[in-house]
Amino acid sequence: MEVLKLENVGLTYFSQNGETQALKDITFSVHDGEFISIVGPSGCGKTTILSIIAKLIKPTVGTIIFHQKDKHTLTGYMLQKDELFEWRTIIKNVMIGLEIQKKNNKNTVKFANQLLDKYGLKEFKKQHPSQLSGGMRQRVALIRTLVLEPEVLLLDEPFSALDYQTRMAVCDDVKDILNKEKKAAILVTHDISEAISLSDRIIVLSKRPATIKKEYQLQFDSHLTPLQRREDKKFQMYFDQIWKDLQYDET
Amino acid sequence: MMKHNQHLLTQKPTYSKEYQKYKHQQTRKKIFIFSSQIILFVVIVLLWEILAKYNIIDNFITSSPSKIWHTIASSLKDGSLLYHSWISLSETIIAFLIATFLGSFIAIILWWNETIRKILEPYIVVLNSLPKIALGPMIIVWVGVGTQAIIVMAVMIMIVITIISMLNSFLSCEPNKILLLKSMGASKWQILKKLILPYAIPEFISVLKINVGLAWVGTIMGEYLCSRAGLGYQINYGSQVLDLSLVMANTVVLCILATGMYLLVSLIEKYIRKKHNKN
Repeated sequence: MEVLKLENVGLTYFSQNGETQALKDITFSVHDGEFISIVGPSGCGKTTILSIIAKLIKPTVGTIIFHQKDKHTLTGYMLQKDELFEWRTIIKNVMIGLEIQKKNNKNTVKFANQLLDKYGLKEFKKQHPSQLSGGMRQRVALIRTLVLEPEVLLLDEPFSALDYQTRMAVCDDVKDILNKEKKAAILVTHDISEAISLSDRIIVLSKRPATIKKEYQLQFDSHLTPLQRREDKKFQMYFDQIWKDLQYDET
Repeated sequence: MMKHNQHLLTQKPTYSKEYQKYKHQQTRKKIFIFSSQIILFVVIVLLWEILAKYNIIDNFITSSPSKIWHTIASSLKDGSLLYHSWISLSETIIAFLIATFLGSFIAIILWWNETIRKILEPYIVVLNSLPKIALGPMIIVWVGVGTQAIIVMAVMIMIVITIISMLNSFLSCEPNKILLLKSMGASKWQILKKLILPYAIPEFISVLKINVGLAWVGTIMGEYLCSRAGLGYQINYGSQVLDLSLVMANTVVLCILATGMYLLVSLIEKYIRKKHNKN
């Protein structure tokens, strides 16, 4: 089932030095439980697409259609850094979105606790973020998003601040959690291998003004973890193709 | 590793000889520093007293510890010490509270409204660089001689730096944290309450500490300019009639009060930090 759809979305920035067209004719839809990655040359406006979907920026032209089932928040944003509040305990950090949406009640507190228990953070609830490792902090950030029960998760290079080892582990971790919670996700990244190891579909953007250059529906065995995908034969093939797409764009 | 730790916990801790020696040295160092501090004080007071007593130094100008003590004791008896201390202390506390909270409040307004902030920016810069004592005569003409002028004077000294420090702290909050809250649908009021204010608490504490010192500067300066009571008045009066014992006695009392107030703020700091980290 389709969760949301972008139709001919375009965006033009205005500044003192003139106007810049960032996005042009972006059309794609997101389905239930689907994992989409958006890759493209740096500075092409990948993050802008997420901001538009999160309703932080209004597109200049085009429409976004949300197929809202109920009153739940539609999107949950996850950023490069975990952005946990140091003065709040882990459980309080997870509750921040609920406080803001005034949904801080018995059921949601219970749900938050369940998620923390389920994903191995039981003993850390009363601790402060500084006492957790980078990977665990990012997991808390994910739970903070999940507790609001969004339809679509927007991931803005959420692994790029982690070291390589942790990154691989957190990647598996996040994918696993998203599968279990059956959430759709849109990942923005400049890391082609990360996109291939995680996604069902990859959207390749051109450089500014960004348009959709190509779309890949990835064909991997559904039970493969991100790390196992990296071992798969098809991995290199997809990598080469997308690499060429991006290279060609540079010239 | 775990087992090893438990073992250590259940057994009486036994430390190596080197560690005991190290501990011993540390304690001795502490005792040495503390006793030196006391001795230094005693030596200075004794030397001062002896030199003044045998007229090696002119005790009309330098006074002497016994004379100062005498002045303090007699002013304690007739109640003037408490009276003047209370006047200065109350002025200082009122000015401190007004400047700290009004200043923080103005900083919140300036954070809230970018247009107002940009309009007022040059005025704040000018006010900040201006030596506030220059406003003294004007303040006296406007609000009249007395307590109110002194409080306004002290507030002027503190408030500009309070506004600037707090505003800078508000504005230094990471934009991505604000973005995160906005993506959850937070209103500006919620962003202020949940993020900006708790984020700025460490800065607020350092502003408290700076203001405690500045409040006394403002009050004493104000009392020099226009007053009929207070420690600053006594010091000024003493110097005019060349009663150096009076000057020094009041300075000593001032030292004690200012230190006491600083220690109180340090206690408040500890309390706030503890509470801040709990939530």
